[in-house]
Amino acid sequence: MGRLDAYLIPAVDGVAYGLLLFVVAAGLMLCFGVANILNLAHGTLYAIGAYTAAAVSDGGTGTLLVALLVGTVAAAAAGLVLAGLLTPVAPGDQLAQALLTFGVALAGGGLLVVAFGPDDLPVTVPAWLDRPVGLAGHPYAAYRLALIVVAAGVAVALHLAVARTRAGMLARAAADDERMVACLGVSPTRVRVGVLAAAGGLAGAAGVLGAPLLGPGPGTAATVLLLSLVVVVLGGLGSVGGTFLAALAVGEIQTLGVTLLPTAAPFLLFAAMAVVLAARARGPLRHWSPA
Amino acid sequence: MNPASTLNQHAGAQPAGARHTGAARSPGGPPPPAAARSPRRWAVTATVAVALAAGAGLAVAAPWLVDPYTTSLLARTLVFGLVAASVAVLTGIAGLPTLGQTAPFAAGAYTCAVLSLHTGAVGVVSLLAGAAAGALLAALTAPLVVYARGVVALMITLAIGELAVVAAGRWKSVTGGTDGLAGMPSVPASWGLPVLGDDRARYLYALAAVAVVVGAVVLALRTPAGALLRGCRDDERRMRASGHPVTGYLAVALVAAGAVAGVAGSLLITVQQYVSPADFGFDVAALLLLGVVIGGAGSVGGAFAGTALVIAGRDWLSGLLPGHAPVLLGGLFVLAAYAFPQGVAARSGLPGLARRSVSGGLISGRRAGWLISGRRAGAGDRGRP
Amino acid sequence: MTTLLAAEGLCRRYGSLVAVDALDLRLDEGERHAVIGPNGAGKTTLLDLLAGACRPDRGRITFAGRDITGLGASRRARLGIGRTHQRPAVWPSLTTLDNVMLAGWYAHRRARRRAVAVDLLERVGLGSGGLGSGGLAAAPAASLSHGQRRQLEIAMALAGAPRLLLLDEPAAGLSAAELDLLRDLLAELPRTVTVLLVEHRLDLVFALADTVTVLSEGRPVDSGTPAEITASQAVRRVYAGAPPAGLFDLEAAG
Repeated sequence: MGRLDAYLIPAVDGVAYGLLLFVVAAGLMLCFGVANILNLAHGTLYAIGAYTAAAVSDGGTGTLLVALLVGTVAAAAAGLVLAGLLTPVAPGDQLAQALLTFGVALAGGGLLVVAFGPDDLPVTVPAWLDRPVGLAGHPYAAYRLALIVVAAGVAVALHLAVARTRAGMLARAAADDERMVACLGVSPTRVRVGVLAAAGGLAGAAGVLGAPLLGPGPGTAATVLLLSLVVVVLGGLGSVGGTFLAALAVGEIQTLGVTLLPTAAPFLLFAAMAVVLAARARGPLRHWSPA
Repeated sequence: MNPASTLNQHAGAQPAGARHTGAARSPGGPPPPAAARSPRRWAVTATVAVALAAGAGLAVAAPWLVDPYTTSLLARTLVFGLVAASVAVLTGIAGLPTLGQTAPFAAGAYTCAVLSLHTGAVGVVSLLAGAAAGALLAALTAPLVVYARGVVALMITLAIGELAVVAAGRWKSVTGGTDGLAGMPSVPASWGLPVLGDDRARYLYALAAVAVVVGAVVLALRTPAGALLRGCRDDERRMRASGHPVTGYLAVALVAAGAVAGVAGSLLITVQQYVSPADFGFDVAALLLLGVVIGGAGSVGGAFAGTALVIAGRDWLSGLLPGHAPVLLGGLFVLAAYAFPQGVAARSGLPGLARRSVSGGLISGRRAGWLISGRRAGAGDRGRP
Repeated sequence: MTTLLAAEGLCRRYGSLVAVDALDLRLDEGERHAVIGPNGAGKTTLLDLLAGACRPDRGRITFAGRDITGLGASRRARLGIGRTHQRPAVWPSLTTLDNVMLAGWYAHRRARRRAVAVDLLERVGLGSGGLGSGGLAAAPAASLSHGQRRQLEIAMALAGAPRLLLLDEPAAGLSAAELDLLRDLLAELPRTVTVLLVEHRLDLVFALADTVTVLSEGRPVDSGTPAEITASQAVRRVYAGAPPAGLFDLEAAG
């Protein structure tokens, strides 16, 4: 029983981490699935949120909410800037998009370091959440439990948005055939702008809320991008449900996996990718769908 | 009825508009007779030959023309140029865009670093060890990459490259972790030769090795192997329909490119005598891709030159405005994305990335469906009954 | 008559769209079999399934006595299944001759490849003669017209020395003269090559085919000689309101 306890905390951490990754990866998948953009600046959008939390949030709930608002808006605005920069690029030219978004990531990361310095910044959690809560007899950080709840709520909201709203339907349609959506009167530009703003907002919000878990620093953008990519690739690139499971899996690997096999985490992710890709290589194709 | 004459009768009557292809560049008929092309062709060939000779001469003379520090920078540039050549083979010729050649590069570098620290192996042995390590890593990761195309290949190779870096950072016992490994002894290029003691000797060694490997790659691409890879790039579906095992060809290309990157890793150790995970980060992979694209992804020599330009530019910018270099470099990337009005991919000869097939999506009309087990240009009809 | 190809119970869906359902097909050696049907009937999917470009959800395919259901496209091509595509698939950066040589890679030894390629180009009407020295053989395939690309792709399919040739609407977009060329070419094919032809142009179908199968919504509606198909009530129902030109003319013409 004692052995199991030692793994319970990392396992729950894994859920928190995984849900956070899901929210972040959903934005990346949105960019790719709907607007066919490989957004290498996605990690930077998260970092904007995380740095906002470090700068604004000082332990009060009010400041946290302010940080959330500011961070989300700032990252969404960055997404709009990205959309604007992408306009002259030919729509199908994904190599140019990769280069451009990478350039933005590089420049954005540089600007953040110039503004905030080259160190990892600490983030203050609201006082009422900054205490241990009993979890199956063990003390567990309340903030992480709250994060689990919030992230799960966002996941549900995303699912509903994709499945039930007109915007979600347009998104699915655009994923299938962009030109047909244009025939419906929605311009591809508008789709791209909307998608990048939404992805930015999602990433920024995740950055603010997740900062205590995956905080602001010079390496944050790259780490977040890498993990999002792995999640998106593992999740099958087509299905929100698959991405959800993949995010949980990656979260667990990064927490529970590291506890079990300390140096092996990168190899575990690698092995997971290998197994999943090999299994899927000949498998059925997927569509971008709500589940 | 003589088939040839029927076609000839008809060809004259067909309006130019009937030409279906992107044939704005070509008048649509057979190329002009060889005789008419000769004088112009000779002039072009002669100019290129002279330029190449001058460049080669400069390259060899460089260590005597600049200070040792610049010489070592130039040597490093050569090394990255070699990795870029491997990126060009995969991206421009086989049609498999990659951000992950840093992984076999790192494998070769770390293998040779450990080899050098423990045995002080000579240059030639180190080169072979690097090639083997790079090829092995490429062989191990090939199954993940070889079924992916286009952007998905970029994603997966990026993840592989990044994971390799993270692994190098964590595996302290072997790789020295984030501090890296240092203090490799200077060794001779081969038994019986003098030790490569100064920057000039190391530069010339790197120059020789790079020239041999790049030359070998260029020659190899002129064999039928090159045509096979180009066929995979241009129309994979037709390749399969004609019996060619595309996945197998791409796997071989990946392993060969891995070997080339591994050789570059070995050279990095010789030239730098120090290695750390920072040498193989995501930004390096992106810089390589940029260099390849600038140089024209279909050309190995162009990729080499383009990367040399990009690396030199980055080093110059770092010197110019320390601390602000990333912002400027980022701007450079953005400008590069704009600098190719027909599209970066079109310029680099990657039809699959440059445009969607008419039926929408790069495969079977459904973008999401293309992603993992996808095909490229030419596979557009699959989704429609 | 030996059976060359037998497909049993083929099913293929794309999500909730059924492309092909419970399809059985048998081809005898040397047969010329045409598949017709309205758009969306599953004709191209059928060819994709037979050639290995996609996997059936259910069903079995046997070729020359061997179960090929699990084999990939390139493997099947090497076993002797050749095909052309609805939109001609050629390698634009290679010359016409190189296209045919590359297509004949696995079917012919290196020494023979060039000769075979030159001969095939002649047969499809892309050879030398009349267009300057070297003719179209040395032209990059990107510079060919649509009709020429179709002809090139047929040459490429033949370069693989196929036992079974799958043709996907080879006549689409061809001029009258090119059509004559195609008809002659197909008529002259030896009976060692079995042909499965998906076509809309019924003059070609009725000139060439021994057997005609009509597909509708992924299922075979009827199968028989051209005369039987023309007389078939089931086929009339399938085409109710919009029979393609020529389907029922045969009957009217007697």
